[in-house]
Amino acid sequence: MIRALRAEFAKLKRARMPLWTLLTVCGYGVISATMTSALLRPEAATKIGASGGAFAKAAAAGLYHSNWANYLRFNQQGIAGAWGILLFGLVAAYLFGREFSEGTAKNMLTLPLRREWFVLAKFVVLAVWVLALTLLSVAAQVAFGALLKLDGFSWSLVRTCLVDSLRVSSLLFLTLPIVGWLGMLGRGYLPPMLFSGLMQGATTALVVTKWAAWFPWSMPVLLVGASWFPVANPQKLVASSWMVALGVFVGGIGLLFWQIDHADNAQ
Amino acid sequence: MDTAGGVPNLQQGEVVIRTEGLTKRFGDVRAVDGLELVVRRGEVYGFLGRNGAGKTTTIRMMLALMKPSDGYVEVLGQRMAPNATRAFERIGSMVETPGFYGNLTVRENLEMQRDLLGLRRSAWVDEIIEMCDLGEYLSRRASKLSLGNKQRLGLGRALLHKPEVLILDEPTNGLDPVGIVDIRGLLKRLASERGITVFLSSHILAEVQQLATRIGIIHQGRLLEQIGFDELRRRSRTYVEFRVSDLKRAAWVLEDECGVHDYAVHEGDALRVYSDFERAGELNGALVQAGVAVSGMQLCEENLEDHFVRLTGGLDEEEAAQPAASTPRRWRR
Repeated sequence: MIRALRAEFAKLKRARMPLWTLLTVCGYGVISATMTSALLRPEAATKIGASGGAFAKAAAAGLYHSNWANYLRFNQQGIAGAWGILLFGLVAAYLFGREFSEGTAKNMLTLPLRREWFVLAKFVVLAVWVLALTLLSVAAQVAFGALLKLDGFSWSLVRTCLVDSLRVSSLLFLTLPIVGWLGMLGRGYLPPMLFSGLMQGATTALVVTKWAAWFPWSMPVLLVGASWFPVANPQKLVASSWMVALGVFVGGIGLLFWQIDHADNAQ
Repeated sequence: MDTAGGVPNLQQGEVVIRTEGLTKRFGDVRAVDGLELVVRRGEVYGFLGRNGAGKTTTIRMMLALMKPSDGYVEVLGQRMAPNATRAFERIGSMVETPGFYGNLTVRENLEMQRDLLGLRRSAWVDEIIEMCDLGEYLSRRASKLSLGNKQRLGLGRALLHKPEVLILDEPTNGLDPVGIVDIRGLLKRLASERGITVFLSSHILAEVQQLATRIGIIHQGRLLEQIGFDELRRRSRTYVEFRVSDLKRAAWVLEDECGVHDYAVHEGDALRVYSDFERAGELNGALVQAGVAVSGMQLCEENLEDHFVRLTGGLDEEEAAQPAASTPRRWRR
């Protein structure tokens, strides 16, 4: 297992994907800071409101106040509803699909190591990667927020942002085995990314329905509030929601183990 | 057919690779059909077949990359299945185009492989670098290597843990003539100096003829024959080949004027006579006298290509286009 883990980390040396994911997260921080900065000026808020959309209308109506509490909420809401599904999905697709797109799966599967170790090692790397992106997103959000000179800063707000971001990322992490499995099944990046895109779309569609509490991809949105502004009365996750999420995780891991041990792994 | 059952005095441990009724179905298509194959220790076994004959599928089943629909494969006495880790400690393999982590250098790829194999000494990597002549590319990223050097690196990866068996699928595919000669030389050295059993698939007859000590011919998923080269030579028929200007007339001369019936028309302008060799001069005279120009006449022995054609019913364009180069197509007397 340790050998497989070392190899999985070594494979990332000079790889561009980690850098692209870091830049994406920072890019989101820049966007949320820019938006907050614009909303500090009432005339800009009115203009944004004219463009339509729930957030814009709320901002124009003065329901969104540009302070630290609201600004930091951008982060967990961004992970849950804007970039988490797609970016974490991309990371999972990369880790599992890469072996097939680069023709290295046949090498990996003919090594004198249990194949399950590779799956587990990839999951450890995936977890570290997701954690790093989440921590970076919080750090970036705080750093860019400091430049805006917003009112009402406190470390407890940062702590809340960090904890909520980690909860959201953890929930999304539970959906990633299925994405990884699709990377192996489809032997590349396209099928898992199409799937992630589909889940992102489904989340947007389902989040306002009662089904959201049982759809693992929309659960993170419910966890931190279904709306961008603090006026919503979000649905709560129930015990069965967590069972569904865990079921998806365990089922995904099972599919991965089955795929690597029993399916034809031709390239 | 010379199969395991037919091999006399087969000693325990002598068989390195054995397949029993190995079958792979894709829907209604039988890609591999009841393959009974035996490879003995120290052999260089050439697994021949046209494109799509079932060679790669067989190799994938040998390496547990694919699950047989029926039958099984044993390598070094162990039934091949996913996680046959003990067997994989003793097997080196390269399936089709070798794959690497393009962002890592040649050395980094080999070092990672060494670590994954649990080999502690870095000297093993140095040895492979020297053996595969990769010294000048050590710091080059794998993605920047030429196809030939990728093949070398693939072979190096397969050899790193000093395997007893090397399973290679089309190891010279896509290489230029110099690359082919290099890889062939390396495989010959490995077999002769290290006693490694080599199982290699190919559709290039000239390559196999120069490397293999024994061949298996697969066609439409079925193993048509397994035969050693010594046996093949013993069985090979001798003939006199005439290159003539008019095949029809030449055939008429041979049959009606000279009474020769054991002949065959071959490759456009060639006519092969399988008996009456002592009358070759007389036959030549008769042809010339009948107005048939004879541009060549030689005593030949059937080669692998002839054997392959006879068994499978012809060559693909690609197979036929393979240059004879340094490989004589005939064993001349």
